[in-house]
Amino acid sequence: MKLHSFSKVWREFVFSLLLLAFVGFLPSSVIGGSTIDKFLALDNQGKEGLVEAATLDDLGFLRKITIDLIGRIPTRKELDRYLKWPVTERRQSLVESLLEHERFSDRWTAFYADMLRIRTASTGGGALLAYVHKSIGDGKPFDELTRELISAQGRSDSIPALGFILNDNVDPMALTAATAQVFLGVRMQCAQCHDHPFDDWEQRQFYEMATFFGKTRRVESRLTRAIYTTEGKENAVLWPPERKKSPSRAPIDAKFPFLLEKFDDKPSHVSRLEAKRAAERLKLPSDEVVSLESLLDSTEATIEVSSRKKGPAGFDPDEDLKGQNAALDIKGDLYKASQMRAELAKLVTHPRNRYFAQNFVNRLWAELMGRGIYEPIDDYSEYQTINQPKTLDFLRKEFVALGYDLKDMIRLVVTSDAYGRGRLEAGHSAKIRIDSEMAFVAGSPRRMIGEALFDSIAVAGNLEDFKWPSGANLKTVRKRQRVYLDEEGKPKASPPAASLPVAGNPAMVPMASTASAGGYDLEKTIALDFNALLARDDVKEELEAMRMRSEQELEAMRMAAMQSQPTRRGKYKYVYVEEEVDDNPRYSSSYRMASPAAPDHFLRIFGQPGRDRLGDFRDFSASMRQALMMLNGKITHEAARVGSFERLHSLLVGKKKDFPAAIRRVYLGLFTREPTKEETKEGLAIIRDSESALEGMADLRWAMLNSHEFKFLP
Amino acid sequence: MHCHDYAVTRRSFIKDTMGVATLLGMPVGSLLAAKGTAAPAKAEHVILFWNGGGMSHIDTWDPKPGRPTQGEFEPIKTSADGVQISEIFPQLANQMHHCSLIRSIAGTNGDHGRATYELQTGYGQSANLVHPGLGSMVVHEKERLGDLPAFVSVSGQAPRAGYLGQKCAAYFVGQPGEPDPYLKFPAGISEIRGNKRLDVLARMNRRSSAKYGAKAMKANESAVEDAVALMSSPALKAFELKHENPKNIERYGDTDFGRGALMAKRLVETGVRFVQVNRGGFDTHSNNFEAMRAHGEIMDPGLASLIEDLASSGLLEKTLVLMLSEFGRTPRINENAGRDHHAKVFSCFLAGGGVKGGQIIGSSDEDGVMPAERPVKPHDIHASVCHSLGIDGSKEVMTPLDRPMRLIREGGEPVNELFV
Repeated sequence: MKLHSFSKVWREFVFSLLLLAFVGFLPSSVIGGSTIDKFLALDNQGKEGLVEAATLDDLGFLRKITIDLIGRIPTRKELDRYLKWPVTERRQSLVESLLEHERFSDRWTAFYADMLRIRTASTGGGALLAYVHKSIGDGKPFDELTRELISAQGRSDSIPALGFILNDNVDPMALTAATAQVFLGVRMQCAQCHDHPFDDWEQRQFYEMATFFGKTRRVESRLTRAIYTTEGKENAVLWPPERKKSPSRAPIDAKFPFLLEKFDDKPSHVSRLEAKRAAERLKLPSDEVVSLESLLDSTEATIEVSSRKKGPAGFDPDEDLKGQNAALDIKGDLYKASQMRAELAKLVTHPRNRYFAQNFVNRLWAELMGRGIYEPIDDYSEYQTINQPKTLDFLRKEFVALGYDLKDMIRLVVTSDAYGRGRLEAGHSAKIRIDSEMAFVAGSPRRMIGEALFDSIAVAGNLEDFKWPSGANLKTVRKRQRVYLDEEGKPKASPPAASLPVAGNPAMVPMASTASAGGYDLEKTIALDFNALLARDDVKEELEAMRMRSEQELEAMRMAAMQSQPTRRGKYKYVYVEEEVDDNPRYSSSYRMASPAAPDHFLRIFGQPGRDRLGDFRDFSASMRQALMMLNGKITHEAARVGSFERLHSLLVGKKKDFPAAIRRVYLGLFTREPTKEETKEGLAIIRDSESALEGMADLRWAMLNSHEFKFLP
Repeated sequence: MHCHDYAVTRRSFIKDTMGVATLLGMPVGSLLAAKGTAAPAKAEHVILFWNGGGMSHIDTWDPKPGRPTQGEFEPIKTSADGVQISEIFPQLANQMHHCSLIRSIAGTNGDHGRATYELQTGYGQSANLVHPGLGSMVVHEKERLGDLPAFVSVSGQAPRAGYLGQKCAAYFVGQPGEPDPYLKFPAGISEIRGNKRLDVLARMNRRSSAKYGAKAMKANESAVEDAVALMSSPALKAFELKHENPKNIERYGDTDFGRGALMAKRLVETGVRFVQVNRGGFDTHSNNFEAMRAHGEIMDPGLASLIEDLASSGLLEKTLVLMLSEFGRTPRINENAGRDHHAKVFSCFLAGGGVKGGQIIGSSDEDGVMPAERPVKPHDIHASVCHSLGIDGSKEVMTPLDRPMRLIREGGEPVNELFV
């Protein structure tokens, strides 16, 4: 027995050596999801009490990956097409079609927006969101996007990438903490005030990194109120910190505190990156070659020096800033580019900076697998438990080799067996369950993100377009309105309503629905037009800011407008008015809403983060608010009702009615699977016990929408 | 009560208190004195009026008659000896023997966002941490009574619950007194049909739970049970003013503020722990006096009637009423007849919950520029709320990342003179 297990260990050891050696020489085309499984197996070696969950069947896989990649459940059309593909190619074809789906950018914009803390209500936030959306669509490598975000300079209304540094008010300290945490997955923020008690960061290192940001100034033009950034002469970051009451405080050298990897022979992932970039360079028009070249080659030189403890000698900020007055942006405006931030951006994204790739792949892994290889996902340190170190190492190198490409990386993860597995069934101890989930041999229970849930309900209920003829849902809505009174207490002629910025604004399209009828305000919002947000016209800052305002801010503006209008001030009374509306709602995608939504909006109740702090992640806990929202909310109710334009309708009334077919249709549509015999029976009973088949079906659909099976991924 | 533990809290409160709360429709709090708390608990409930924008202290609680900074309003005598307030509160003046003022809050921040954060949470903003607001802190420590949510925010947002978790977040009521569509089945769905739907749902969920047995699913089921308990609770009437005597609506004023104040009274009577009534429009950079007069006309009847009613029912003893703003406004009147942000000194209003009436704590200097006596830190106010409720403010709670945080920021001391 002992001998046997020894030989098993030995075999696995030899196997792992071979694998590690082998992967280095693999042509990139051979590396796929199964390589992840091999590394996971290595990492899990010797762990006892793991139970592997079964692989999902084809439909379960379709549902899971569709929700993950394009942010909603599959439609019936997508399901039929999938089943028509040959069994052996089915999953592969599905992955490719989802990566190219028009909703892919929408869904992954939410991932980036959480990570980068994009708030459409803040200055430049809306444009940044639209810019990230476009970058995903264009397949822009993540290192390139990151460099743009860190080094952007200019006017907020013409440089959308500027939104990132504006978000932290161009404050060097806040930007240092954010850069380390967002892009490198390291919490340095504590070192702003003190040497870190557990980690290795010293306060001085924080200040040295902050120095990269120290010359950038946020400026608001007095004339046009346009907001832009430029470089000042003095560095605002001084050492030692103010509270140490040192007699003299002075600027210090900018230094990147993260050691870059050193190696004698170029490792294969870096060579592969270079080869990939070289090939891409050949395809580009000549004027862009310079910048790409400088990207890899010239960085090498800087890195060498900066990784020395002395700091970047040969990198004299003042020297580098000479002649910058001549730097022009394309629009002809004169802004000094930030040489220092450009330098920092290169260091942050350098292929030899392991933190950068590691941070991104761990975040991506957590998004797709339900938990990170280390957690919290923005708190890597030497003291952190890395559950699968070999897998993490493989993933981060692969991300570099794949040219920091989001889609390639997603493809790698979702084609692994680990991703394709379902959850453990009941009957295992809590310990086995958690150990197996943490070892990624079983899927974690994952509730859809709020946006996916909202869009899935809309798709399930055919609410993306009108499902009723106009006039079929006329109803009288009672509204409370203010009537202002004159000095004798008589109603005044109604003053014109304060004009709100929504009207006539190209970037803010009120949703084409009457979702608010009856006070269901927490499910409606305003859709952003990403193209309008990126249009570089001469939009004034005020107008731009107005477009991005959240509903809350609009409310504040309404209030302010009321204040400034004497006629709307003073005494008023409430009267009830009745209004006839055609309540025939349809819903546009929640991924296109201004975000984050107002704090009590559906999306926030279902965990969308406020994005106003570092370390503020999606909240997947259950709450009574969520239950009320789903049980009684407008969108669930409308999704459940059977509209006369729905195909389902004809299976429930009229000559062609076929209840079992209707039930099957609903199960395929909502749960992406066939109903069991018992479920069909149950469905038939619900329909028969109802006043009408339409009502019965609405009840069934309502229950399904509210169920665990709908909300949790397979 | 620990808000993280969803399933447990729901069951314990239902068992312990539901019958009492719903049958009597009475201040259940008085029947269930807090046990094992740090200081003798007096208050059971809090009503916080949050006046967003920075309310002028000189034009409300801290008049400066005869000074160049006085502005347009005269001080008036009140029912409390030696206590004068601005003329914009004539009705409230008759209730001031129940009420106290702090005139020496020394704020640190003149920016709306940061000051609001500090006054609402007691903490300064920092990265990586969302501090809970006052209401979330209170309901983390004081268990829910009856069916209604422990923390209700009216006419606007309360701060987030931060590391205390979603269970301590406020239930939001948009239009005070109007029916809340999320609390009943959608129009056209009868109770019978709605309950049938719930049965089907429960059956489906039981099947999934039996198959997977995941904790996350159980938590979802408890949330649904909670929601259903709330939907069927008679206590919900407290939310709807159609059950209220129209004369009372008239007395409080048929405005969002008046309705909010009246609803706050009804909610507290039903057992709600913390009601936050929000009001904006105090950022009076221009036409300060016209605006403040209008605010007075709206706030005066609501606040005065609330204090009067709570006092006559005896509930005032158990209910701390607080009116706060993020900062005051400059003593200097600007060229637009407005006042600008002023954090160095400002005032707040308190009544009930063990607060001795008719007092003035601290003072500002003769022009209302700086604190003159007894400066009070913003987190001293939070500590005072804890004191009033018998909550130990030095208690530490763990954030989800296991960082211990004090309920009240280090250094916050109750303003002891307030209390009897």
